[in-house]
Amino acid sequence: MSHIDRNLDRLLRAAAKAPRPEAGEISFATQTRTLAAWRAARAATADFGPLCAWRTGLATAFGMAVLAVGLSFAASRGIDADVNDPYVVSDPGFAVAMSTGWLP
Amino acid sequence: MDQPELDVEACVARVRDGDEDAARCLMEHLYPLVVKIVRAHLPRRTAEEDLVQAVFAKVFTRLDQFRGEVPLAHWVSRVAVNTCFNELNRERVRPELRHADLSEAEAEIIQNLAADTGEVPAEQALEAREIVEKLLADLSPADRLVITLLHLEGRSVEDIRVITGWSTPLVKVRAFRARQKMKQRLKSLLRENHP
Repeated sequence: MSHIDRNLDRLLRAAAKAPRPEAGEISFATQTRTLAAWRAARAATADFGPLCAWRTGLATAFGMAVLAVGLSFAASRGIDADVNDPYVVSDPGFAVAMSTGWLP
Repeated sequence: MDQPELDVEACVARVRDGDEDAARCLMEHLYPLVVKIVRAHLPRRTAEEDLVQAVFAKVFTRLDQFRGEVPLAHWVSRVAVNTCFNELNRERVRPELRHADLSEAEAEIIQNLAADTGEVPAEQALEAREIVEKLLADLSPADRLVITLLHLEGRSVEDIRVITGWSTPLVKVRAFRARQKMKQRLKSLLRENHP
């Protein structure tokens, strides 16, 4: 064992023997702050369920809206608008409804 | 110190149900253990009470993860050590310790270390601890943790493995490397003392 090893050991042994202050008791302030933080964390967890359901619903509605617009656009592209036809229906949505028999 | 009798299992179950009185009892029961760990690993710029609060907040929010396979005290020790370790990670590494940074009493210990081979007198233990703390402040959080647990708290390698979650070879390698770094720093302090 080198000289520096021995010196470090002596220093660490002495440091380990240093008296430690008594643990005492937890202060009321620390207890209260900890409980408040815990309460807030529990409330956040409890709120997460409905929030999650609301977000899922919103995302689903948005997805359905995008799908409907997409389908409607695709259907309108499929109709050849004859510009010479005096009865041409300019509204693609109306044209789709007509072609699928939704409207009489 | 006498601990009041507490049915830990029942108390934990009540805390899980959100009982704040039980949480207070558990905090009072665990405080001596938590504060001891926090004091041993406290970063220099962090308040002790803040870190104690952070440990208890983690204990309560993660109590559902406690399966009861180990005693609660062991599980809480691990949470406390990891919280301190994360806090140490946030602390910036201090510049290397110089002889001029030591107080008069600390410089005397270094002088005695260089001069004789006897043990450091018991009345200088606090100053020795201060020097070790200053040497540790130069190390990385992991190195600091392993030296504190192994040499200052007298824990075994197996204890450290359980507390930190590191493998046994990793604990040994970290302890060896940390010690090498401390030796280098102590060597330069001694050299400054006796150029």
